[in-house]
Amino acid sequence: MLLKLDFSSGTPIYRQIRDQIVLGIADGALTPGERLPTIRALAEESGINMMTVNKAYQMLKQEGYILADRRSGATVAGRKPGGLSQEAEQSLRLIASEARLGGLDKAAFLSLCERLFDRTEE
Amino acid sequence: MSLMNVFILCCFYCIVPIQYLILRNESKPKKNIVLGATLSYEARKSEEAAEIVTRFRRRETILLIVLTAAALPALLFPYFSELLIYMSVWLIPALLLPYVPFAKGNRALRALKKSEGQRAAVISGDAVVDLKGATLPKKGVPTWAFVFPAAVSAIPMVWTMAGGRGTVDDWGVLLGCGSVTVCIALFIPIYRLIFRQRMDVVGSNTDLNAALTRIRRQYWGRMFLWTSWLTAILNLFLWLTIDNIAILIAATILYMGALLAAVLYHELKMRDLQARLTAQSGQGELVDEDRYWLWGLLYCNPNDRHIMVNQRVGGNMTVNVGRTAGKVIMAASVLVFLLLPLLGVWMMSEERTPVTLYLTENTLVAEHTGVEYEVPLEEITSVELLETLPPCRRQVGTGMENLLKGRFSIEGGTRAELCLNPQSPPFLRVETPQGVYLFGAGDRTATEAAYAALTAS
Repeated sequence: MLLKLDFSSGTPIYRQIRDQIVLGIADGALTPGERLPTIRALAEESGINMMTVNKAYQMLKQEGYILADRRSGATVAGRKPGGLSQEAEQSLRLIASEARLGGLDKAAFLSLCERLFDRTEE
Repeated sequence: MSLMNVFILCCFYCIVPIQYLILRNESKPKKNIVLGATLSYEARKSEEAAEIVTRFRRRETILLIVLTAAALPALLFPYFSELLIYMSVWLIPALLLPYVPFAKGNRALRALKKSEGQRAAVISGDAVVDLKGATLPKKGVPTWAFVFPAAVSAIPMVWTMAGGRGTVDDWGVLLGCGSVTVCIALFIPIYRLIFRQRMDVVGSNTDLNAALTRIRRQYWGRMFLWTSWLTAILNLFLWLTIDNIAILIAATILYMGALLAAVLYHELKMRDLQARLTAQSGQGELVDEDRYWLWGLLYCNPNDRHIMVNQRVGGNMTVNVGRTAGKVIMAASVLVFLLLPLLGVWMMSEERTPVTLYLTENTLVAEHTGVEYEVPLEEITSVELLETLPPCRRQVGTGMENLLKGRFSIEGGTRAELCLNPQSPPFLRVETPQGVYLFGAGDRTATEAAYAALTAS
């Protein structure tokens, strides 16, 4: 899986790392148990600060997407039970509102959601 | 035309065919890149791209001929300093001009890409990381492999320390061989630093990315080991044959030749492997970082904290001119390069100015281009007029065909200060409790007059 960072984006770098890893897990590009680069390796490969990578990894660990161990480094966790987090639900609500304001009806929005959901691995 | 002219011409001129070879090689697709422009497989195979490449090659060949013709007058210069000025002035266009067709070719290919659009999915970002590739183990040359050449290089130093007599020659060996040993030891952290450079990423195929990265790392490992061993062997050889200048020069030339051959061999082999591995690449997707490469040559990415980065093609490295430190390094390198002709001007003043020898009321003075050697008359214990110069070896100072100036070792280890033209005898040998001085004025009469005045006083 390729991680693409956009430094001119309004989204903070740590958030970009977090989001892309979550997308990668959902798409199946990253499988449970798969090793992730160490903080140092990822910082060196991307040319960003180690603190930024650490922040992204801490976030992923807290959310249960990755397991971090001092000896074996970070690995992708298995399926995360418990549905959407409160934050994600808020984001979805915002997207649904934008869709409504953008002129999408319920059927079209649900169809779009279904298509995107199907793209993630079962 | 002298042997010196041929030697200097060869030293400078060899850069031109090497650069021609490397730049011409840039027109062969490697890692989806042609003349510094990232192109999809279809775009690389297009007629327009082929036409741009042909034009670039033709221009480079014409430049090679012109630069070769411009270098040939170097054979006619009678003075070393003039020759050096000519060649260092010649070097500026010789190094810069071949990049003009390259930049033009790069611009044309980028315009072609823009007009036709990439016929593959472009993966672009300020940083693109292969997550799986970044977890792969990095197998490099172990540190102990550098210890052996460093140990071989240290033999002269250890030998001298164990059995030396503390003469000026012994100190020369310790300083010279010690510096070389330190240089080889420094290869260890430098190699580690280079080894940690980022992966080569051309697409989402991790195996391909990993293979390209492995090639690069192997190249650096081999190059550092080759350089360490060649330098260690040269160091040992120079110590064993220290009294034979002809062998010293021949060994140094051989060393430089071997090093150059090793670098070229590995560079071209690596480029060939990169071309073969990515021959079919860029069909579905490709990583495009062209926006960070000015004219396809200079890396400028202020968001990348790395100051030194890999060149996209081949095994070299370059600086990130988007960072302040990168700008400083680049500016300093360009300045040194542009100031090179001044070295020739300085040498001209050294070569053309005769040594002045005179006596004041209580001092013997030898003066040359602002440097003065003063010997108080009361300290002089003996004076001698020599028709031939004793064998001498330079420690610190200038050693030219018609000027020896600085600290030398004479007669098998005696420390002496020299300021004379070796082609213009006689020479004044002055001894004091502090050491020996050998002076010689630009003409015989002045030296003999100084000798007569000294013996009279």
